[in-house]
Amino acid sequence: MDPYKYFSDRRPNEEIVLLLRRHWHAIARYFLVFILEIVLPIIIFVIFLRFSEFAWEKGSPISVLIFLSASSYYLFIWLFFFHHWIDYYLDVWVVTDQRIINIEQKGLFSRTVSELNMDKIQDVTSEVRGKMATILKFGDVHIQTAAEEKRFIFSEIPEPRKVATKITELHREAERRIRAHRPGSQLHNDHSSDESNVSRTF
Amino acid sequence: MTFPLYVILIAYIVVFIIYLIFSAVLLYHIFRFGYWDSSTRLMVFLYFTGSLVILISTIVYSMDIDWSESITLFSNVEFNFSID
Repeated sequence: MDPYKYFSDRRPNEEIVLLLRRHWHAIARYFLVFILEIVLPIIIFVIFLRFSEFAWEKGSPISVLIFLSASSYYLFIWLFFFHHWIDYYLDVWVVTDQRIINIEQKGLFSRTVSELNMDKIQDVTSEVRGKMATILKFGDVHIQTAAEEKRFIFSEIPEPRKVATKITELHREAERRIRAHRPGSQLHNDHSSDESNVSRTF
Repeated sequence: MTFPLYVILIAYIVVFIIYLIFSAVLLYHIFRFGYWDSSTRLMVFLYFTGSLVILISTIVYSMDIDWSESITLFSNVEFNFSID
C-alpha cells in the first residue's frame, strides 16, 4: 500500500505521519440502516400475505410486478450502500510533517482537496461528544488557522485527543524548523523560548 | 388501467441500465482515487456478488413468464376524459 498516492505533489523529504479516516462507527451506522432496508420490506410483505386475501402465484401478472419492483429496490439499496462505503473510504485526512491534506468526496461527482501548512496552525481542539463517541473513542479535531481562514475539521476520527496532540507536536517541530532556517536566528538552540511560544499558541 | 406485461420488463431493463451507469461511476471513483487494497477488493467482490445474486434470481424468475399477458392495475379507478 502506497499512502503517497493520496497526494501527487509530495514535497522533498515530506513524510506521512498520520493517515486518517472516519471511525468504523460511521459506516456501521449505514450498515444497520442497510440491514433494516433489506429486512423490513420482507417482514411487511409476509404480514401482508398472512392477513390479506392476496395469494402469491408464480407467473401471475401481479406477482411479476411485485418481484421486479423488489428486484429494482434491492439493486438500488445495494448501490446506495456501496456509495456510502465509497464516500467513507475516500474521505481521508493525511497529516505529514509539513502539512495537513483534507481529501473529501462529496457525492458522486465532487471531490475537494484542501491543504494547510503546519506552521499556519493557530489552535488545535479535540472534541468527544455523546455516550457512543465516549465508549467507542471517536470524535472531532478542529484545527484553526488565521482568523479569516476556515477551520479544518476531522470529523468522527478515532482517538481525537491523540491526533490533536500529534498535530501539536508537528506544529512545534515545523515552527522550530522555520526559525532555524531564518538568517541570523539562534532559536534552534533556544528550547525555553520555543516552549513558551507553543504554550501561548495552543 | 390495462397494459401488457412486457411494459414492466422494459421498465425494469431501464432501471437496470441506470443501475449499471451509477455502478460504473462508483467503480471509476474507487479505481481512480482509492487503493486496490484488501478492503477495496472485498467490497468490489461483495458488490459484484450481491448484484449478480439479485440479477440471476430475477432472470431465473422471469424465464417462465408469459410477457404477452396483460396486467390490470387500479381497476377501481376510472378516468373519464370525455367532454359533455
